[in-house]
Amino acid sequence: MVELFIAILLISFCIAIMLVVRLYSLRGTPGAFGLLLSNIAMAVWILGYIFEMIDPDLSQKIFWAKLQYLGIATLPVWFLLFAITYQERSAQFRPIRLALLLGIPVATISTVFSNETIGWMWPVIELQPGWVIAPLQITHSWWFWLHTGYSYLALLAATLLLIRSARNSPRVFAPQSMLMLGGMLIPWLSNIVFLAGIKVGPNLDLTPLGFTLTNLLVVIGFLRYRIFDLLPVAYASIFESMSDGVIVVDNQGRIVQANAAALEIFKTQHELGMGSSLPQILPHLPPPPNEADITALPAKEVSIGSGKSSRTYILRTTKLQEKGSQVSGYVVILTDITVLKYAQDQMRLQVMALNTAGNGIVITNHEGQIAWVNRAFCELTGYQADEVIGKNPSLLKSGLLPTEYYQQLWQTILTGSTWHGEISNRRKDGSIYIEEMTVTPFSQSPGTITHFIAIKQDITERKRAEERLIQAHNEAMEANRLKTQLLANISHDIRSPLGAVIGYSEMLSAGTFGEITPKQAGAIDEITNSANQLLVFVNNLIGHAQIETGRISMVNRTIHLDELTESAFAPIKLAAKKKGLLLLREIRHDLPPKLTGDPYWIRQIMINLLSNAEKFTEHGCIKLQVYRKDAASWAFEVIDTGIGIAPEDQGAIFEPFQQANLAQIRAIGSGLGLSIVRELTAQMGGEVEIESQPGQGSTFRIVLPMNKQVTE
Amino acid sequence: MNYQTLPLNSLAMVIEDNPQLSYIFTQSLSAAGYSVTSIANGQEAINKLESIQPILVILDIQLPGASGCKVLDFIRNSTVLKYTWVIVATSEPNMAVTMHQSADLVLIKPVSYIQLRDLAVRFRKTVK
Repeated sequence: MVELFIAILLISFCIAIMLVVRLYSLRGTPGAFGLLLSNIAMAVWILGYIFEMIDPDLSQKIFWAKLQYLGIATLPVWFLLFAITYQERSAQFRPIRLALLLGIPVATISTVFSNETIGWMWPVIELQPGWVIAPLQITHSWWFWLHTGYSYLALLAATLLLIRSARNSPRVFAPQSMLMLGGMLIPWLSNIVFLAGIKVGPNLDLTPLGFTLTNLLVVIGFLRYRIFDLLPVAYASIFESMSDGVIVVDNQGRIVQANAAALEIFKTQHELGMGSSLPQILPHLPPPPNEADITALPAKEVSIGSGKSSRTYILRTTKLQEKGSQVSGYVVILTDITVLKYAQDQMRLQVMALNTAGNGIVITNHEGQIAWVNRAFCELTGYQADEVIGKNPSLLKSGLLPTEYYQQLWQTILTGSTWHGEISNRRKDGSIYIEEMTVTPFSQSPGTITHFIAIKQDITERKRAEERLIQAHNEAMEANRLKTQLLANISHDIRSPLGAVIGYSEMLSAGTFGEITPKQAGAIDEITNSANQLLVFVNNLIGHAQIETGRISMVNRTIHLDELTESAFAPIKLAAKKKGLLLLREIRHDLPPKLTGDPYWIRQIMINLLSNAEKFTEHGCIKLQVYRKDAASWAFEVIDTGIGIAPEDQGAIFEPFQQANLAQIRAIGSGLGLSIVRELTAQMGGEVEIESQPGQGSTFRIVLPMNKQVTE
Repeated sequence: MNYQTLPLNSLAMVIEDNPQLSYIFTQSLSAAGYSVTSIANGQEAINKLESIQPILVILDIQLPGASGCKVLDFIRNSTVLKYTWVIVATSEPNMAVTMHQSADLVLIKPVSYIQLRDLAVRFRKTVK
């Protein structure tokens, strides 16, 4: 039994020695030194206890018992030292504090070693009767109880410190703290056993075993989570490599430490020397907070540097303060937000631009849900942004368009193309509007379409205006058609009686109704002439109407130039005769024997040119000559010796209802003649040429192609 | 030239509903030496054409009964009228374009008394 106990004690001793060796290498870590000393104390205690038991001699036993107290008296202090340094995360411990803590243990050791003289510790020391190997049988005096009380006080303090440490420590430290706390409870259990008066064998003391376990658990906890080995290094490394500038100042504002980023920030500004005053360097620094419960000040935006090198930072200040103690300083963190701020400004600008745009803008995601809309969209549709975001744009559907229309839209944009078209939609209030929409797919990651942007413009008014315009146009066209129809009807209706007038006049002239007197013949000529003039006018009217409506048709037949030119002179014969104008007609022989064209409309051109010539010629002659112009064309021209036309007026005379220099013109005319000449000539593929000078007469030349096939 | 001297053995027909024009055409052809029948109705003309068998027809287009086009078709499809010469007299210049394929001559109204008389005479000479 005792031998087994000794064996366990030996194991405990070995454990203590091992822990001493292990902890020695970590002695710079906060808490390690306290643990190291506690294990040395433990080893001394166990060794002393073993020799106390196995040494047979009483005086030797007493020596070993005294030696043990080097460990027993100091062990709680070493635990407390460990707990304090561990909790403060500091390897340093001020010697004065240590000296104070060691006062009573040193006194205890002195009392133990001077026991024979003063007897405050052990008044009676005897061998245990009946046991060869056993500890001494000892009665205790008052100093022993003082020492024991002090020891438990120290242990209690250490335990409480560890509990507090466990409570304050980050989550990663929690298992470590729990393990250590578990270790610290063991001495209290041993104490309970002792107080309960339970005796094992020859009054064996289990306390060293309990403390050994305590030591073991605490050290395991300490070693297993060697975060404190890494943390100082890690902290230092993080501190230096942080992209944020970090400056530690004391409570007087003096710089204690600054990391590389902070030095870089102030490089161009000031020397950021240790001990210099931060408020001088950084006037923006907010005054330190007075309220004890505020640990961090509100972040503040500051600009450092000037001009182009000016950069913007977020400045955060955190108090350095232990719980319940005075503020010892501040940590000032400067985060560079220049780029972020620029991007933010840009984004704000873009959002503002999109929002103030006159067109409605909708951004839709790939699933067809609305992600963003601008103000103009809300105005256009009557919906608020939060009413449509997350919804499908189909909520605007009017139901007036076929499904295929939308399918085609989606097909277009899903293949990456832009869709453009008109859509009729329904507003929130149910009213229908028409919009012109352009939908363009875009992507936030290359290769895939992530969003679509739709730009909408309300074209309801434009569409209505277009419809009104189309209607007005149709009405105008209809009115024009009716006018043309009217002209055609009138000209037809005039033609028949005109035919009768001309026919009867001719019959009278021809003597069908008997012989006539010269005076009667003159009257008949006047009737015939007037009727012919009226006929030219009616033909021009119907020609104009047909040209205007594009309903004119041309035949291609053999032209009998002799007959054609002869009949073309008929309407002006009488008038020319009265003015004494010479009428000349020349058909040159270089023309092909079979000339083709539309005789009716060619005659109409000739009549118009001859009538014009007659109107504007008072003296001289009017000549119609027909000739071959070149291999592919022939021409006829009407030459007069009339008033002529100024070059600047020559363009205008071909417009309908225009006459050059109206003030000079005495003669009447519909103003249709030359416009019809130009139109008819163009229909025949020919050209009108004019040569004229005021007072020098005019020549109108019609050049017509000869390449047409005879269809007669 | 004295047109009255021409032999009166040639039959002509004037198909025209306007009485004044019908009279002028009739006078014009008579002066050219034809024996003229004038009819004012298209259908009536169709009924009588084959029995009369004129060598020259002056044909209006806008006619009651049957249109001038129908009358012309009838003439062109009749074997007994295959030598009949047809002059279409229309007041619509565009009609000339469509008619001139099947008509021998298209005249745009108003048709001159003298022009028609001279044409008829020229045709008589050709036939001779």
